[in-house]
Amino acid sequence: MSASSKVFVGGVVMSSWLGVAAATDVAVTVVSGESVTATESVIYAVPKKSGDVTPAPSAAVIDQVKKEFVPLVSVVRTGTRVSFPNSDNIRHQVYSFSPAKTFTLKLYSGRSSEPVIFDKPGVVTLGCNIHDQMIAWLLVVDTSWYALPDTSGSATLKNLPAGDYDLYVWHPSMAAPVGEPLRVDGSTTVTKTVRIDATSIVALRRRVALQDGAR
Amino acid sequence: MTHSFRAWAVFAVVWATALLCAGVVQAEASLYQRIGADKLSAVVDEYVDVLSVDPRTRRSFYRSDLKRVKKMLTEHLCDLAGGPCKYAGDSMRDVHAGHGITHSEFLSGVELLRVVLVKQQIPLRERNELLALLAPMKSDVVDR
Repeated sequence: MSASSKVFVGGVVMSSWLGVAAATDVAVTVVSGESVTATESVIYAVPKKSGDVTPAPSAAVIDQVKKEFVPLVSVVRTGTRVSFPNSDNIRHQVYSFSPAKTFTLKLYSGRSSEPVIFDKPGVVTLGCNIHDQMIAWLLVVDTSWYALPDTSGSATLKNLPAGDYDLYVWHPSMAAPVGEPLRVDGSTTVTKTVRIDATSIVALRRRVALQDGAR
Repeated sequence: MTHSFRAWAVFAVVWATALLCAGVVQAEASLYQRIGADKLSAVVDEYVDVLSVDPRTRRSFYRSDLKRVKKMLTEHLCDLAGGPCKYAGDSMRDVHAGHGITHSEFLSGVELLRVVLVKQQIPLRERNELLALLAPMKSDVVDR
């Protein structure tokens, strides 16, 4: 299947010996048969033992622009307040049936709405009741080390304290994130390869549209 | 027959006629009943299909969930026409806000509805009653 491609995750651990505590930047490159697939994915690391110095969850924005969600793929930490500003001047009705967060949010022209707090980890698929082709994905993770790859497929997880982690990669076409062990040690360099099957968002949407048409 | 009896008889007939008329008015079916649920669905179905492809009106339906539009419009018309439904959707102002619908787009929408009503063989009286229910919405639909 041409829409399906293998994604490789190569991780290089670079030690940063500046500062008192050993903190490491983990540079990850997502390699895929389709370059778009790599940029649609999410990378994150979860410490095996609790060593996550919990920073206050930040705020995030998922906008509605010309009947599309922007961005299409987001990642936030649990507890983050996500706002849906609606840059379109028409109404939208954002919803999720996902177990991690079920909600409906009516957005009207010229009226602001309360942010939605995502308090459980998991995949949240977002849709719009009014415009059925609008779809976006939000991955809620229980860690502060996460990143979205850039157009070259590169992502950097910053300032990881030494220790054992699970390094995960996720893409909207995957039912669940795929993880593998990651050891962060100030003096070592680690390269990781994770193999996953991913279907680009364009192909995913086409599949959803076909299913809708058959209903 | 005495004069007073005749007067009484006339009075009784007038009363009976009045009561009968009142009864007829009360028993008259609602617009919804006269059109019929199936026919109303058929009208909405065809109307939304036409609105969403006609070059004069399709712009506002780009990327819209047409199945939902049909469901909500059927519910709204059923409610307006005295049917058993309760329209629970947004106000017509909220629904159309930001779409920048022009006067001529609105008129095209009305024209398309007229054509569908005729095609679906809705009688003249019911056609007019339905259009009369929708006419006051113009100010909420058209962008001012």
